Amino acid sequence: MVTAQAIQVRRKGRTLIGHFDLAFDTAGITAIVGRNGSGKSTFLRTLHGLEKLQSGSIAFENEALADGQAFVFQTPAFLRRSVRQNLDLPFQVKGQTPQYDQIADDMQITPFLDMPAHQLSMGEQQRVSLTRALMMNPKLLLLDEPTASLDGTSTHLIETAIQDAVEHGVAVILASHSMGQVRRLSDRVIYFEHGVAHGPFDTSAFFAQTPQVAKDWMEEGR
Amino acid sequence: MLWPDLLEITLRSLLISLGATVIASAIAMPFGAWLALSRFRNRRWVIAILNALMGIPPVAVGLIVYLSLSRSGPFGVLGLLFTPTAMVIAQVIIITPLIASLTHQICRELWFEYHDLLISLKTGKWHRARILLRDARRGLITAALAGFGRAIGEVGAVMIVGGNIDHATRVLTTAISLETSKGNLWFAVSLGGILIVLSVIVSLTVHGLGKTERGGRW
Repeated sequence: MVTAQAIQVRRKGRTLIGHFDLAFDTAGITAIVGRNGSGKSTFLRTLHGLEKLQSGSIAFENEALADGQAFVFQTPAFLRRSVRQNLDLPFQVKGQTPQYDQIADDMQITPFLDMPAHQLSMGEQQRVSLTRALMMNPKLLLLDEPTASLDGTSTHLIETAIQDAVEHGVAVILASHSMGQVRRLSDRVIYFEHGVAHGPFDTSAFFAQTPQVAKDWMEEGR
Repeated sequence: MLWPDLLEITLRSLLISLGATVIASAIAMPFGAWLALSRFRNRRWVIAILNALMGIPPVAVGLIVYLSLSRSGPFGVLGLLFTPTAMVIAQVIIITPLIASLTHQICRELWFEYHDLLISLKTGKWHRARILLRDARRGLITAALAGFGRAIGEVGAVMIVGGNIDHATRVLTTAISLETSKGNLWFAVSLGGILIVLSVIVSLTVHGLGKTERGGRW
């Protein structure tokens, strides 16, 4: 369960998200949709503790922010090191030894393990990024447009991995501009407009009878 | 001046400046990384002062170290004045702000790139500093070399605290100053040539060991 109460995030005098309450069950996949700049990414970043709240509170299962969470950024974030060293990083932080033979095979990144992460294509980088997130065994996986500008193969691999994670009990919150993807994957939809969250809506109901607040945006997409 | 004397002066120059660079780097690099990672009140002032100290006049540093180490000074009891140690101390004071400021700028750029990832992975501040210093090592080698270049070319402070004593504290720069004042211009120019060659050799060796500019991936 994610609960947000009267939250507000401002940067340089501009309200990025603000002044709304939101509570939703996180089981399965929750899609966050809305226009560019509507506050989707800021909401995910705030839930993960990357943005500072000016007011209000936000929590996942009443835990400290980022505990039990993993984040996949829209632009893959890596150290200037090899793929293997980037995958090892979360485990080094905890003083553990990573095991990634199987997942690296599943995500088809084994051939790149010893290459510099920045040299990979965007699709390969995003697969590595998701692999690292899944290896952390998160309770909550936050995905910020993970398949934006990826080809069909990479998108399919990533979507399959997300569905596998959900089957293993991982809660997923996915920001996406792809309505096809939202339809295929999500159980509920939260719509953002001008920094305010609306919902959650059941996914099939959202597409069958689009709520008034999202109608213009849906029309623009057609 | 005989060849053994020349060799002695050259080696002394090298050891004093390398020693000062190692000590200054050990102080300046962690401090620069910490400054890049930390947010605290008056941080901008600290950065401004650090940048201003990059241009600190070496003669002024020499004078302060001289007064501190002289018999009537607070550290006079240590008997360090007119020793190579005093020269190392002066050089460390001169080059530490330079290396710290360059380290701060290099690490700040990298921190912009790594910020979200390292916060997301809940790394501690110490771990972040280690990661920044490791991944910025090529830039930091350049920062250390800039410090070494300033140290080995320095004359005012080492003259004051070292005294240019033959077989004790004479280094290439103070020898050049002495030979110029004696009118031995060609000899002074030759010593200058040795100084330049020495600086280039150290730079090439460090870059070679640090494998900078290999791969050129980023």
